[in-house]
Amino acid sequence: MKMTEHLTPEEKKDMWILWRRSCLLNGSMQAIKRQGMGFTYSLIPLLKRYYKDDKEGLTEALVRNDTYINTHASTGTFLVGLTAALEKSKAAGEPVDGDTIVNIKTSLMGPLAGIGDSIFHITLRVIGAGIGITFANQGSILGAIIFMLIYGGTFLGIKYPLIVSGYTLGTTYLKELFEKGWIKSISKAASVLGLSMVGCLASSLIKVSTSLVIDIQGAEVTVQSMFDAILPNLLPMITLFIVYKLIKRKVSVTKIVMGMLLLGILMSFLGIM
Amino acid sequence: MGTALLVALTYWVIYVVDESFSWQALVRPIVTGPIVGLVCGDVTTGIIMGGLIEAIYMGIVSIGGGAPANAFDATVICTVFVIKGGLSTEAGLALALPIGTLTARIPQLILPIHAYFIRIFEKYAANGDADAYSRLQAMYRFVIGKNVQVIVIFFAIWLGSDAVSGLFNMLPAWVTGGLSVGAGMLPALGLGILTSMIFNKELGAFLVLGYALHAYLGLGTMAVAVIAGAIAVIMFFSDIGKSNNQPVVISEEEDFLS
Repeated sequence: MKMTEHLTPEEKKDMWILWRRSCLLNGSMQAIKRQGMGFTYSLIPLLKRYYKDDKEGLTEALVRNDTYINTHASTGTFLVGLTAALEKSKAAGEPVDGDTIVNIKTSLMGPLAGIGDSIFHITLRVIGAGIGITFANQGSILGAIIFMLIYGGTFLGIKYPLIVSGYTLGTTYLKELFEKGWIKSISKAASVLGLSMVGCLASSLIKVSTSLVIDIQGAEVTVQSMFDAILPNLLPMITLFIVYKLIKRKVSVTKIVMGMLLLGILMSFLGIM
Repeated sequence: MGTALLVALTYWVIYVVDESFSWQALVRPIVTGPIVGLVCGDVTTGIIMGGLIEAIYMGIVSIGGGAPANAFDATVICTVFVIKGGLSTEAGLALALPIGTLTARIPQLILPIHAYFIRIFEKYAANGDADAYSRLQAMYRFVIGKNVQVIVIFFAIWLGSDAVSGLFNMLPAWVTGGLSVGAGMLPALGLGILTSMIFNKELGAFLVLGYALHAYLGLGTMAVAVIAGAIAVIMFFSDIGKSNNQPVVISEEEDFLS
């Protein structure tokens, strides 16, 4: 394969390790960190080698990657390759900033998920199912097989080139930028992207609204419509802010989850939400 | 009960194999239907049910993961009801969406279990114990995964269709509604952890920018990435222009651009 020409035999092997391990990207999927653990798991064999004699570095790398990531299990593997390359540079003592790695991941995960969703869930799955259903309606097993080839086959096939290109980007262009000593500027730029993305995701993913109706001189006014008119999605942002403060105060994840579910039931019982 | 046990086991195997590739392919109705049909001794009906349920669920796209209804659970339960329970194809099909909507709530109920294991993962990471971390992730789909759903599927098939809908109707509306409200807040947790890692005062306003672009203009992640990316590039170049005015750096910059 031409695109792996610049890789050493060992790096080629690494790419397959990343391919195999990233198959478990969704293996511990839940609503809190999504694929965070699957992502860290994908990198572990390489991290262990990169930070061979540096237990502290390995620990930092594990903690750094063990965080919220929500991307597509196939197109998102681009990030697995890219992060591996950045961790490699960092472990080699190059001036790669840990926060920058997190920021780059955060800013790219959404767009990659968007691309993955439109390629796989919207296009290929609908094409595969559309053709498959015609066969299935006649009682033919060909329907399932065609679906698996069109959707399942491409899903796995596209991962390898994506991992390699992510890794290549990380080892060449980004590394070049780091080497020029533009770390501060890069991490600033990455923060701009990362924070904007979190703002957008918070507004679109967090669903909090109120069904409260207040009576103003006989006229019934729904509180939510007032919010919508002035500051739409204000409640999700307030929720994010409160959770952020709780995490800063080291309140455990379990407590926050239980709190949210109980608060939900309480609010629902009182008819506020 | 034999059927219920066999089907629950089949459900578990399909899930584990599918999750081994993060695939979301084997769990689609069009593939699950024939497999369940095979187990229940009527492949053709399984294929047809799978095709019909796929047609219902094809349009339900779960962008960002939060599925409004679970196609996999619905296919397994409805196909068995049709083959073994003597339900007509149409009646089985009519149940597909309600059942899928009900079972889609289960992940919210077992979230405290996930939260507990997330803390174990965090502990392993903080101790630099990469091997233990790997082991837990590799086992996760077997030992936690969808095991609660497996039990639900078992009882649903064992008790039959009336019992299933009766059970869910017993829960008062404020409990089910409340769980949905709580589930709506959950993404704030992951995003809150992320914010705590990358937030800084100087650039914090970009959080507001991302929010405003979505809330007021309705832009998606892709559009926000492009806009924020452009701002990031502008800031990057103005930044390096400010800090380095030496001719050496400028020539390097030209190299990079050309």
